[in-house]
Amino acid sequence: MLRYLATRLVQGLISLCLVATFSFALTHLIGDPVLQLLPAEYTPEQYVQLRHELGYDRPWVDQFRDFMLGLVNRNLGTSTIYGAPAVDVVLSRLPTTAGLAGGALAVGILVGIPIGVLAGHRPYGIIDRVGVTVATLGQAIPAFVTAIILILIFAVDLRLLPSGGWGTWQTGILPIATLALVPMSGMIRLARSAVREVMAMPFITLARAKGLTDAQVLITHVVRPSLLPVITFGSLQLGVLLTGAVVTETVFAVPGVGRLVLDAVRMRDHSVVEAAVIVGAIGFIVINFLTDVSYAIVDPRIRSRVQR
Amino acid sequence: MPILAASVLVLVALGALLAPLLAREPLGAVDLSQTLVPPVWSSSGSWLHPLGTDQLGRDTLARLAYGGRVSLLVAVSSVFLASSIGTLVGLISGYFEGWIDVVAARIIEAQLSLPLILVALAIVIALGSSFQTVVLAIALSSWVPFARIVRSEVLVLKHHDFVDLAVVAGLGGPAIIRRHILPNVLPSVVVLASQNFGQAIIYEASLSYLSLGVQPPQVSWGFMIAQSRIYLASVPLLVLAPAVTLAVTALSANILCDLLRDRLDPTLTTLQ
Repeated sequence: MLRYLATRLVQGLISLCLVATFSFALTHLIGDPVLQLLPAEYTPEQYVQLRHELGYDRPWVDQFRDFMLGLVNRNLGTSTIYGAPAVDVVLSRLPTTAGLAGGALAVGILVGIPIGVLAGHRPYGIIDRVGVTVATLGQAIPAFVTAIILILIFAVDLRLLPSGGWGTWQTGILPIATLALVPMSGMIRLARSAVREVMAMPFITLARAKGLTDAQVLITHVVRPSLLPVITFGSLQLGVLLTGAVVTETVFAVPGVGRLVLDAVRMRDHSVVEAAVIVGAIGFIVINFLTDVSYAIVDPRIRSRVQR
Repeated sequence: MPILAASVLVLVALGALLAPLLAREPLGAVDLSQTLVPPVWSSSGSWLHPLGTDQLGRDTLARLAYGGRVSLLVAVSSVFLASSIGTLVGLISGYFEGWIDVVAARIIEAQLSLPLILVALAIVIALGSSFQTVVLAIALSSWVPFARIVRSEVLVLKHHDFVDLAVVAGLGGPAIIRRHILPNVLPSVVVLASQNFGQAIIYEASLSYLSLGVQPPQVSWGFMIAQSRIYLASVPLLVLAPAVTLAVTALSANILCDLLRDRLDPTLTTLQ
């Protein structure tokens, strides 16, 4: 187990270096951030001066060294809007986004998995038909359209809930509901097909032959083996969830990382955007690491596959 | 259902092709004497603007057609790019294994920690936002599944007799991959590509809703929704028209690809 942990940790660090190199290559070698920062009409002198001020005229080896050193020292530049270190600005907004995404994932799992399990247990039954329809719609309707429909119904027509803002529990309902639709749809589809697959296994026929009731078979024999692919999918969904969270925050005026970053793009506050990309990537590397480790705890077969 | 879905896609494609004919004015032309004209089914509407006009007097139907152009083009090119990158990586790492496979595995893991929104942000600060950068962002965040599925199929395929025979016949690695392995993995790639198509349409709309997508005068459904959002309570059609078009198009694409998968994937049909 220790050896597995160590290998996996080294792999995570390699990923981190790759991500850092990728973002460095994109911003410093392929693209030209100086061009993005200058006004639409600029003189060559302005270009040269700004390039010098930002340090983009130094040899790229030096730039790369400073970039990587900055990463280690948690120093990714200063925000031009807030005048504070970019990493701190991003981290201060992180709890809001994490709350929104975490809440949505929890709702998606708690609602989606039971529906999916029941749907897979009785294919073509009423739960199956409704569940699949909801899941199909949920995957075809982007978060901002769901959000707009929910606002139109609950804020404009019924005047039940606020159309935006953050802080009280009422403001949380619509954003979380909007965002939860994405993981919920995926969970329904996946739990449904996993259950159908397990239901076809010989050990289910055996359990039935032993005289167990439908409910007993479902709970003790079907759900557990069906859950492993669902966990994998859940961790993969987080990327989609983050994209959705940024969109949702924009629609509902939630002051999370997403809004911060989009404002930063508009105001050309590049260090904040860069810091957000790096912080986000580190978050995903940590999540992937934790997912793999929890697998290894659950499934001993994985621990012996360290070699690769 | 499949026929309905297919006709929706054909309709959007026709609109995209014929957009210049549908529009009376060039794309982005503003007519402030014709702002917020109601649609044809309201009492003061006319067939001149079947779906009315927006706050700047631009015809909604024409803009929907132009938006379909961007949606379909971005979806087709990004899915093509993603499947090409993924297939190439999968073929090479699966066939040769060894160190090249280890490197590919690390690149894939690094890519998995950069979901769409992070890639898009990184690209936008480096290159600005345009048609090409949207395609690049979507392709970069969706090639991994292609690489994984192709790699796992190649690992099985390369132990078949016909590969050994090709080696005996004196063919080199690249020739075997191109002539004997690639044709065998293409069906899976096509199924996966069709599944990514609807997703790519939604990704494009989301990015342009966040103004990280194509820039004016080019128009996209997501951008139209973002622009008319303040009119949601007073003129809901301005928001609903692009929103419904977008949802119905993505839904149709998903329905058709489910059908394609059920037809082409033998493991599913045996289960039923």
